[in-house]
Amino acid sequence: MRERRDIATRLRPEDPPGGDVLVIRGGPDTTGTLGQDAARTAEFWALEGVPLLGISVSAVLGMPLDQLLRDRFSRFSVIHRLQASYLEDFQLLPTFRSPHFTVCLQQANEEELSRLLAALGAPILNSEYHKVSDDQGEAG
Amino acid sequence: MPYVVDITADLNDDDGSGEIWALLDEARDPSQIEIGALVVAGREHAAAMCEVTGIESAPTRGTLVILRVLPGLVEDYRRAASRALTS
Repeated sequence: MRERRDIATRLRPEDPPGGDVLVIRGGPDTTGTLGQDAARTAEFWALEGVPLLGISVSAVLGMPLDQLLRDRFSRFSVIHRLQASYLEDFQLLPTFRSPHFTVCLQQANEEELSRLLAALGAPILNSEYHKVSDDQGEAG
Repeated sequence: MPYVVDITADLNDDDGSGEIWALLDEARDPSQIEIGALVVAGREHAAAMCEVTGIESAPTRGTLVILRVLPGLVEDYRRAASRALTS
């Protein structure tokens, strides 16, 4: 059995996004999908030796919103869009390639997942759905 | 269009590097998941064509599956295959 990968090796040396920065997550989510995704992350990644219950989001940093939506969210018909301040109850780790962040959960129990889902807000239509960015290319 | 995926995964995990992770116990038919296999991964509302690039023992839940997200949309592959198979 292999050990979990250490997320510390994939941290970027930067602060969490400011409260007014927009954060995007492809949806739609429920407490069920959030819990499932957090548990899956915890099978793969650990932080300081502890399984990391986390879900992925992207911040609108370094590129316009529509470009981010085309680059990373074109497969999602709906997205959750919120200001980072709505996630102030959670730790945001700058993980992997910018502008990806991992929202860290403590237990991923129903109460915590409900708080996270409320922070994400209702899903909205993705204006860039099925629009492929220049560097993604098309398969066919 | 709702998708019936081969294996559940969170496409939000793709940070642009193209690699995401999944668990074999979340595959519709685990026998289809092998290195090099092309699969549809994601969820009902968002899916992508992926290549299985790694299969490893998981710490507590059986088997991890490493996926490389392929460019384009699932629909692109269907159209390409349709062209190839009808001409």
